Amino acid sequence: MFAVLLEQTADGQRYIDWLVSGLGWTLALAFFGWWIAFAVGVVVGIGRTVQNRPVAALARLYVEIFRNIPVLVQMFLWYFVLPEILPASLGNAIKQIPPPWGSFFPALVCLGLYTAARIAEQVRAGIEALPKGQVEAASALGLGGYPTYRYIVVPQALRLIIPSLTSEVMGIYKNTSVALTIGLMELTAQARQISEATFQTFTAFGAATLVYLALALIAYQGMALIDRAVRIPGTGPADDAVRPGATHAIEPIDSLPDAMEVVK
Amino acid sequence: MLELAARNRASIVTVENLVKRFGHFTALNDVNLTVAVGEKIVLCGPSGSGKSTLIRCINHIEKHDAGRIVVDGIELSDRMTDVNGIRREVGMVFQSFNLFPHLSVVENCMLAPMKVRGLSRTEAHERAIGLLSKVRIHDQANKYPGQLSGGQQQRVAIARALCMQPKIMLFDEPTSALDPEMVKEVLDTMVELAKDGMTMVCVTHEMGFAREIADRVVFMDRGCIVEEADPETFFRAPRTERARDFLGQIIH
Amino acid sequence: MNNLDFSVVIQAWPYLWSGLLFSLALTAVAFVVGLVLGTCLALVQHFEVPVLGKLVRGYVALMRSIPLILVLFWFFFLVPIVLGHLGGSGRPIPIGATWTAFITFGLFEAAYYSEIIRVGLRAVNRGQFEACQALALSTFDTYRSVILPQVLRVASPIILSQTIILFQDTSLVYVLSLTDLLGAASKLAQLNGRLVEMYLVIAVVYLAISSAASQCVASLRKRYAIAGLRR
Ligand SMILES: Nc1ncnc2c1ncn2[C@@H]1O[C@H](COP(=O)(O)OP(=O)(O)OP(=O)(O)O)[C@@H](O)[C@H]1O
Ligand SMILES: [Mg+2]
Repeated sequence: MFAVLLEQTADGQRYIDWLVSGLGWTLALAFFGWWIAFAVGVVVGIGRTVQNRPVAALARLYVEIFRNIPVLVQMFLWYFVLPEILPASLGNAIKQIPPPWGSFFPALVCLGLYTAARIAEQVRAGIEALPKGQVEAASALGLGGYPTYRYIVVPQALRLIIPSLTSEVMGIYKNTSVALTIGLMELTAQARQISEATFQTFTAFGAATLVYLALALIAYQGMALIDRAVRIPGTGPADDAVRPGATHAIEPIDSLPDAMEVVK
Repeated sequence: MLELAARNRASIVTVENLVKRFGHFTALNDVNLTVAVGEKIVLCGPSGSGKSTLIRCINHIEKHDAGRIVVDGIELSDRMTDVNGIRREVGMVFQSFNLFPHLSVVENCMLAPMKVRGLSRTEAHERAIGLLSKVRIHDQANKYPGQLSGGQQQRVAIARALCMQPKIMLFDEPTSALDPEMVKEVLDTMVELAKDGMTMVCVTHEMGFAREIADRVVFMDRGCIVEEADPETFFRAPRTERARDFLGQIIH
Repeated sequence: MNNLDFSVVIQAWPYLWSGLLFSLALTAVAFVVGLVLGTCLALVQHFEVPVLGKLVRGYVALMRSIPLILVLFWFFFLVPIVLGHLGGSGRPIPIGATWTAFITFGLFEAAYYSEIIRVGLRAVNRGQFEACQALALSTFDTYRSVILPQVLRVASPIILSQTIILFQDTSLVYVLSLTDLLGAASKLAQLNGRLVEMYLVIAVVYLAISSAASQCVASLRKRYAIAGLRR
């Protein structure tokens, strides 16, 4: 079924090379976008929890804006709108960036900052979920604001939110496909192009789907690995499998974990 | 004399050679028990002795592995088509109340009579209010379980079970999740119920309660019934070593 | 900075408005279909229905692992073929982009809602099931009157935030050249060349709707936290 992928394309490559190149852009976007998102997200998330009013308000504004505009619209804002509203010389310089990079950088910034807003909310939730006693104990030891956050609060909060971060990792790699709307030939775009060139739609989409599935699996396993690696000894994962007829009871819950809320 | 009287009455629950296993662990081993109509039985014994398992077998929430259980003339078995036919006649009160948090107190009491007994809304409401006043909580009828104290919740749970007009009531440590000051209100309710002639099987360690209403105290240990006696005899002069140890522990 | 001229937006407003209505309709339909179907999918998994349970699991995992845009492409390609086979003719029945969008979003969202509800079902205290058994409630009544209402209530904040994301995601029908809010804006932008104004305005519209909705969800969450269904 996938034999067509090995056939020659008009430009002398094979179709599978198109897929591989698409995968490359997808991975590059997801990987570098993730680090932007993580760095900005942690900072903004902490910002939302500090006492300083203006800082907290700014952080909140950031989250509101970047979380409540669709990624695709944000993509267009970075790609079409930004160069127009910048001073003409700078705007033109941006428009001069050669093809793949001209789409890649706006997409990178877009996905990074969008995902950052989501991570910021997780970080904030993680920090707020910590027992008050932790901060009190830190100040009782004479730690100031910065060391308290750096050594006590953030390390614990990040561990707490690893499950939610997993879903953000999945989110960012899936959202890379949105970059096709501004002309980046990532995985989904390549699949569509192969489908149009060969009329083997099933094969083209099927191959892309398998690759995305594999990526999801890797992302999931990777995060599980990280979760195990950084787990504090003595704090096992809760086993929450309860069905009618299962043998052990669990605590009733008042709300579901935020990790359930995911991007697509 | 009491036992004789009990035997002469018709029995509502008969348990014969009951065996219940969880995997390789035998939770009940050859248990025999008969409950006569109108009889009040108090089940006690150390933690893990199988008390809960026994009464949960009686309404088939746990399925037994061997032996016979006959409730109200019908034998319980896996092949049974209508287990709910039996559960309708058996009321149960849990240690942790298990009220439905999303329904108001009165709705908690109305649900099963409407869905299972086919009562109309007004009939069910009337019955619910009647039984809620019996447990002296009708003024809270429109509150939600989360807004009540533990003792109040447990009394609602009793009223909820009574709304099905069961022939027998099972209690699994109904007071052990309660703060001490609330235990009495629940026990008073149970005593009243007993005096009305309800057939009851209660797992409890409240000895005052047992003395007041029990026809028989059944002492279990490690999945077996070790001793049965009327409360006076049991508390004053337990026959077995294990029962003596147990009583020593709960009296301190 | 170029001179911005937002008067074009006023002229364009009726067209944008109809686009917005389409976005909202798509959201509403996907919400209803997704929630109903999602609940069914969750129950099938919960009861571990032989074969079907596994299939549903696979379906949900698949939907959650691939990008929505790819799913849209898939359905645009597959639904006519499937309909053709169901119709018996074996020839694809073209259904157009609009129907594709409604079908895709309904089926796709079902996978996400079902996961929320499945976790919610697992989280219901076992005592609730036992109380229903003790009261002789049938399985149907147990789930309809006791279990599902609690699950939906506990999960409602997450279901609603998921629906806000759904509203934003409807913008992806742009890849099917449909005229939702974004589609309307981009078509006008191509006509009048005012893409800066167009995109900025719809960004504000999306922002306003989504953040107003998020505020509602947040206050809902707070209300529940205070009311405290359980103690
Ligand atoms: N679902 C189950 N799966 C496995 N083992 C179980 C299960 N339920 C009960 N057991 C075991 O069966 C034994 C009897 O349990 P049971 O709950 O009947 O004790 P109990 O007498 O009610 O004790 P307690 O006073 O603590 O309530 C215990 O050792 C318990 O660990
Ligand atoms: Mg017990």
